[in-house]
Amino acid sequence: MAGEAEVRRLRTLYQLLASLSQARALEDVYEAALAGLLDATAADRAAILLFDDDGVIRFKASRGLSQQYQAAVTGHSPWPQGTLNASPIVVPDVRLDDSVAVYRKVLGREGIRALAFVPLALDAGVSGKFMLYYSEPHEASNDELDVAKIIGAHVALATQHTRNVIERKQLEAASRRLAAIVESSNDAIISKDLNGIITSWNIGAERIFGYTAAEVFGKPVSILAAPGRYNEMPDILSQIKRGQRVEHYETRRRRKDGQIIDVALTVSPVRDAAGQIVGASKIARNITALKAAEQERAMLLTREQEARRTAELLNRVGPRLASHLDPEKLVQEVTDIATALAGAEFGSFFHNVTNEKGESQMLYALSGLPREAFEGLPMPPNSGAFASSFRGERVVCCDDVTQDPRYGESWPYYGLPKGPLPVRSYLAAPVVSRSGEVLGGLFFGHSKPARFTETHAAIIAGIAAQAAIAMDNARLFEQGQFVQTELKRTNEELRRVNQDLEVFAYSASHDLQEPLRTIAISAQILERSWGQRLQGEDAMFLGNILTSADRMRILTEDLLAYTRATKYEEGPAPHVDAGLVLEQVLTSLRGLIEQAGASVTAGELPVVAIHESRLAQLLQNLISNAIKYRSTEVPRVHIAANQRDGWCVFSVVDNGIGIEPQFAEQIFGLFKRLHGRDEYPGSGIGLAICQRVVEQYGGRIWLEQSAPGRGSTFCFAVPSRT
Amino acid sequence: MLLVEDNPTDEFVVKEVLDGCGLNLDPHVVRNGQDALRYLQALEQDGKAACPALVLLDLNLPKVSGLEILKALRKSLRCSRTPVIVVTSSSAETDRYAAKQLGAEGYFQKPTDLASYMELAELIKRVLEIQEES
Repeated sequence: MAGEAEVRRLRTLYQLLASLSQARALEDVYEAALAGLLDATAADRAAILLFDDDGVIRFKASRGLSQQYQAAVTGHSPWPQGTLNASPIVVPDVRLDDSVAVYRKVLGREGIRALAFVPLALDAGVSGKFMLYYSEPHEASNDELDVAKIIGAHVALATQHTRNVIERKQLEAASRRLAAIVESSNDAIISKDLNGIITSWNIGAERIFGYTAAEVFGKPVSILAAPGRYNEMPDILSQIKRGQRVEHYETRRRRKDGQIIDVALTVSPVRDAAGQIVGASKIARNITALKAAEQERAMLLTREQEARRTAELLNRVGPRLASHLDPEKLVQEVTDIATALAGAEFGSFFHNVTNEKGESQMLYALSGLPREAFEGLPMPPNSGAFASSFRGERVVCCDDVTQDPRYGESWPYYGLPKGPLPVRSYLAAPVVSRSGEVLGGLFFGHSKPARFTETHAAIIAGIAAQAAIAMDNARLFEQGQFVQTELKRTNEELRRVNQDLEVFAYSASHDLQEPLRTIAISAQILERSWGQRLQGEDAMFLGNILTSADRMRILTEDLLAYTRATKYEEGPAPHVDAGLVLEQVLTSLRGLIEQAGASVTAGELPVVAIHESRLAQLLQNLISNAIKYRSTEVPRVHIAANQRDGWCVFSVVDNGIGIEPQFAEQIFGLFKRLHGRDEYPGSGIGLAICQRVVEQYGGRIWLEQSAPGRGSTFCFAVPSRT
Repeated sequence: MLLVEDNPTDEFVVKEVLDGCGLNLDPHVVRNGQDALRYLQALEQDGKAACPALVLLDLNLPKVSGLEILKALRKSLRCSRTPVIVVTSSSAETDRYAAKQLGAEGYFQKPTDLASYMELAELIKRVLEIQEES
């Protein structure tokens, strides 16, 4: 029997080995093992359980066991995982063995009477177990156990092997996926060994560096180095060798075609399975475009800041310039500010002035250099050419006048003197008034070439504009000052004239009247003594002396009144209530009015801008005339006023004797009368005086209408209340 | 009394006025300002001479104006209280005011007719009465 069993055992083992060698998956291994176990032992059921990663032993394969049973005994293992030198455990009769008492019911239901536990182990200790199940009480023999152990060992090995295969397949798959990622990346992914020799080169690297993989394999990575950076790669390698990673390192590299590009690198050490560093993996991103954009942005930002600074400067300059009303100071300030802002070494400002004789002169202000340095300065040609040379140009800018053929030929390219002054950079701008007149030009120089940028040109253009406005204002102010001075002078002359008039009036009243008085008195004394005795014509002659003297006196008085009327009232005309003035005039004329039995009426009279005494003079003259030249009717005089366009037109209407229209102008003449002295008193000066008075206020007096026997209407216009 | 007047016609009339007053005043006539001042100075120095009872003073005099003479009179020691009537052809307010400031007791504007000239007599009488009272 032993021989047969032996043969059977060997055959089983052989079968098992054959099956195991063909196993593709773990399941195949387990199935082969189970088949072997059942074949080689008396067990009618068997199972394989293994410890999972969570330390729980679970069924991996079984024959003839229900799910319930499996569920009930999962996790049960007589040995903890990893136990070394574990021995099989036999339970000949489950009913009698207390070690399985817990499971007796479960076993009973399953129909199991006997068990055998066979440990599965390799170097690492117990990793699982075989289970042999018997339906009858049975003590597993040593042979059975040996077979099971052998099968177990093979299974363990096969499992390990299969696991390795699977792992390797998984690693291969992972490795293939990685390779795909590397290949498809836009970044350059390059690996090199510790000597810097390139060992891998993806499509991204081909695109970025221009070399194909074939061209670079086996070449040192230094072929990519950019000039001036040859030390970088060894440095990076030494860092890698120390196990350090280099992250986001921005540098430059050289392409196959020689172009230098900006790159960002990340270099990491590559380790083998043992953890040794065997090389480096480099990811390089082409950031040339990015860097260019950054530079562009930085430049735009700088430009924007500069522009803002320029605007601020100009804004500050404006008020400073505007505060200068003295043209000379203003011009100097402009030149100084502009020279500083332009960053020039020296600057000048030529400007056109017209002197009192109306001649045009070119003056200049200098900045940055003493006047002596500008000795022998060539003056610009007369203003015509000066203006035309700036025609159409806002700013003239030259980086190096020694290279510019236009320099020295004509304005404005000749703004600064040659000679000891080294001028290479040159900047000029016209200062043009709002009316378009070229007031002058600003000129700046620097000994180094290309010193004046667009920004400077913009600043200077701005200053030139501000300067033009400031100069215009200064000129206006000067003109205003001039007008004011003139006005003052005129006023003073007026005062002088008035004073002269006063003196004349006074002396006239004295020196003219005195002899007249003496004539009159003397004649009266004579008349007293001899009047009775004078005959015929002699009496008339004496009478003539008296009357003529008297007439002369009156004429002189009237002339004085006329002269006083030409005197300008000083100060602006106040607002006077014409109604009140009329009342005063009527009061002073009361005697005349009562004597003539006249009726004087008036409408609403407004407030006017004329000195009170003058208005009184006008009204008094016209009203007394109206009464004096009365007809046989009861004299009626009406005064009215009418406002029109800032003027107030007064009318004095009477029902007197009237005036023939052809004399309408004549009556305003000095000493002009239409009647004899004996008809109506008066010297004919009243209306002349009135005319002088209204003229002083820019007004007018006229005979509005009249007809002999139909009365007259006199009108005069004076300014209304302002 | 003193009459300071350069116009002979006026001198003639003023004397007539004085006669008409019944005041029996025989005026000493001085024709120009300088003479007037000399006369006043002489008065000043001559302790025995009496101050004039009245001075009729024209303003518009050659060499020295009437106002100057009035000023000098008022500054003098002896005769500073002498009553003065300014008799002038000037109608200027400034003259009237100045005369008043300088203490003239009266101001008479010479008229152009004889009749009005007689009113000077009234003024003279009035001034002399006031003078006597004080």
